[in-house]
Amino acid sequence: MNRGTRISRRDFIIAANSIVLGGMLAHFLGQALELFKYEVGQNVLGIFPCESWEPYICDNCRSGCTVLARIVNGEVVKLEGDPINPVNAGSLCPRGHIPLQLLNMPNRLVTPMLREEGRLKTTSFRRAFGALAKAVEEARSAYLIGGEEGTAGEVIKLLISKVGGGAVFHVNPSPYPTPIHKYRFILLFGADILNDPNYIMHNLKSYSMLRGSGRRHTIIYISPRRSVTGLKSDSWIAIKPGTYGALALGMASHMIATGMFTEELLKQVTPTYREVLDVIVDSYSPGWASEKTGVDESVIVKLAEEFYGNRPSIAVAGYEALLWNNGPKSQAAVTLINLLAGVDPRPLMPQVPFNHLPGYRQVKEIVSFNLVELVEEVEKNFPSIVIFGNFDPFFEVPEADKLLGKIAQSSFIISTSPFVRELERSYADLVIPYALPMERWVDGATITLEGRSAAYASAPILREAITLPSLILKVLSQYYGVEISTMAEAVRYRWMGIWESGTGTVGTREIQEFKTFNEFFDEILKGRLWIGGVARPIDSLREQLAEIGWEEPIKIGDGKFLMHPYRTLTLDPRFGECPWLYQRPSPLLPEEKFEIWVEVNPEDASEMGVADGETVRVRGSSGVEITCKAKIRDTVSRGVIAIPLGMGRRIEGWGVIGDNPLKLISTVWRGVSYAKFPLLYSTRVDILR
Amino acid sequence: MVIDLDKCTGCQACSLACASENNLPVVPPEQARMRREIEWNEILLVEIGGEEVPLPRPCMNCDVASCVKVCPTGSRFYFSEGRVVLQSYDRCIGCRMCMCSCPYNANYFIWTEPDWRYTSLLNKDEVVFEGLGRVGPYPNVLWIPLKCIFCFHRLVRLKQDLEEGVAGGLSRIFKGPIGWEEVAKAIDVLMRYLTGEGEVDVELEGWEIRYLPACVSTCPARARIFGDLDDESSLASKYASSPRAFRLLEELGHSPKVIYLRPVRR
Repeated sequence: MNRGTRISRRDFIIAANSIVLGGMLAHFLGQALELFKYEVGQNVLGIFPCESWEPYICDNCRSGCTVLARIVNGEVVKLEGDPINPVNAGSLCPRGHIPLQLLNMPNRLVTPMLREEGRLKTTSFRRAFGALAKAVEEARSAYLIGGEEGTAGEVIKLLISKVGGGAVFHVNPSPYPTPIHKYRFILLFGADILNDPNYIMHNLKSYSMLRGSGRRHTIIYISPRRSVTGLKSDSWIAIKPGTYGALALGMASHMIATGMFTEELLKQVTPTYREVLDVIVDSYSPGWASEKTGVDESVIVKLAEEFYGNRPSIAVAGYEALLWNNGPKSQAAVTLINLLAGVDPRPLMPQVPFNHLPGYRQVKEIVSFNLVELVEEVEKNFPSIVIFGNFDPFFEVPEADKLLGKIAQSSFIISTSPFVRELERSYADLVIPYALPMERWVDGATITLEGRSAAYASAPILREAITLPSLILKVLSQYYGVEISTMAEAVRYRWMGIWESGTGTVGTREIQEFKTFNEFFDEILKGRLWIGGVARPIDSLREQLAEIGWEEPIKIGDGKFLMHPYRTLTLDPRFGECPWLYQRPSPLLPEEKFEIWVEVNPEDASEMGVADGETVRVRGSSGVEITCKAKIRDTVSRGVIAIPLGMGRRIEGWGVIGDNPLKLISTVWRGVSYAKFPLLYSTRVDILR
Repeated sequence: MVIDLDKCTGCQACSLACASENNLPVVPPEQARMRREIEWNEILLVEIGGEEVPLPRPCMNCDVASCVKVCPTGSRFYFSEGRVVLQSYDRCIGCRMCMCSCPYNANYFIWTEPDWRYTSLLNKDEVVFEGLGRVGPYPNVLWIPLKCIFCFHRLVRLKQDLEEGVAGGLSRIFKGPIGWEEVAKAIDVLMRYLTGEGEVDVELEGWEIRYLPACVSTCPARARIFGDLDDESSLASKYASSPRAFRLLEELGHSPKVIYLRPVRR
């Protein structure tokens, strides 16, 4: 194309006017003569290439959706949800489409990298295997962070159990879906279900099933920030940060005082429930709760009455309620109001009779992501191996940079990643490319929307990639006598357990209707789920209730505003390098593309004199600053500013997009939050113009 | 097309599915800041009844389309059987009259050489109209406006596959001469299959949903219903006759063919 042609301003105006005048003339002429109403009939020819559709299971979250990949000339060109899977039933969430873009990104890592003489260099899989085997031989302990599902996870746990002295650090404080479609009155205490990255499809489907049910129902979202969940709820109640437990206690107090409760479930959970109820009524009235939460007393009373009057009701405590110092107490109070309303709020865990791999021993599993604990573990048992399973601490955990240095000193860090990120560049000793789910074996357990246990598996539909679990299996088979050496064998071995159990269905067929294991497993690999019995409730009510009471939320630093970081479905730390996602960061601010912003309450903004769209600096308590655009919106409470997580990544060719807001957060690490997670919502910050 | 705003969560799956199906380029950040991003199916935030609602906005494929009226080259035209508004990539001269005239802002101009590396021309489906040229997934032509065509190439594919008897389970229902009426009926079968509303007599293989527009098949909330609004028995007509139904800027008289269902006040 000729890029040298220059058009003067005069030429342009003449040309533009001619076009406009010409167009107008054409328009009127066309209307008069009906000449320009082009209608075209049958003379159409479609030219379509030969294609095939291959199923695989998406591993973006734990829903276990089957995806159909359209393959043309050996190349994947489109992804669709597969209707035969009852979980996604033909749908695909926004993140389900991402592998297509990752597959085509030129900077995606396809070869391993090894740190030699302090520098990370590209290497071969053979040398990567050698380095891994040497590290395993020397290590006294091994740790996995981020968690891997199914057989891949079990292979890594098998390695940990062979090396000894290790643990798996899970990273989800509330990793279970909430089937809201089964209830009539839903109270979400900081549970941003429509942005929850754990069971995306479950939550979206459950929401739409409820809305399409034709039943009378109400969803109420309680949070200092109105997220998309708040937008799509029937009402949003703005609450002072960290006071979710107080609201639930105020509701409980009113329910008990007015006799709006059932005793059945409470009796089963704790025999001394009467004493608990007396303490609640004496200590926490709706008036007290109103003072703590900033929510009107009349609203708290009404919530309590509606919660009991519209049963079945459910109250759910989400991340935003749990990742506070009083998180366990908020969970206890929310559990109490559920029990008072006679609702069993226990989440379900799938029960699948998978075989364990030969030699597998249970390793310590910590439902937490506490880097301080990891540092202590690593320092006790060095040298060690620390595996980051497609988990980038810089975008998931505050203060990661302070602690990663310590971990790196005494351990061999292995990371699986689709790109070379800060973790890999600065700390990893061995980087194994993250293989997309269509390039490897994927399997695992999930729950159907009806609450039944289910399991899924898929084989690679493209050339099988070498993954970290496949390398570990080779190490285990060569040096530890494990008889299985490939992922295909390992997955089949584990599924033999389901086959031998003789229970459950695949599609419309009972498992006994299949003549051989191969016939059964072939059907599974087509993308169908194995569906077994009802999933088991996780029995933790008694421990939860033991925490009942109130504790003031901690605030760190002396800034004017409390920082409220949040995730959106598209701007998630995982796969954050995908430009498709960066171009669609949030439906709440559709005009913002490739930008980071801070949401400020209009009254706070007018006090500071900050205008909408103005560039401001946000300073954390440690003095770190990030620059972002101010968005003046009444979607946040006064005294709170909200910043999305996931920005600050490097995209090939485009540099760094935005600043990473996790840099601003100062935290308290020592066992203060729910499940020992670091505090995420307690940091005070300042806004500077 | 009917979009139920009560069910839609603004998750943006439709927007991504559209981009991947139609080869929509991701523009670099500096272009996006000039509002030059290309999203045939944009999620807007609008106020309805005093409340903000995420609203997916594809092209309305109007019955009386202003873009067709103003197009000086005839590259915008109605496909008379389906009343879809199409655009020929080969005839268009990039004058942007359609962009000026469209009250829905549904046209997107390719201003600059896009970043092709990520999803460059993955979908090579092509639909050619005699005398008019190519329509369908975007074929990398610079300086022309683009818009949603309800994945017209997928409908053409359905017709051809039905004619050849290779449309999976649908071919067991629709035999003999295939016209656009049969295509509309096949679409209705697929919609009933996906939504679970009404009986579907035949076992489908699953991949047949690829004949639906990409945004419709992907929607996790099943908020989108596609079908023939002229056929009173279709699922789309059933939804369109809801008391909650409304059309965007209906007063302008363009007869948009995207019908929204108002969120329910509870």
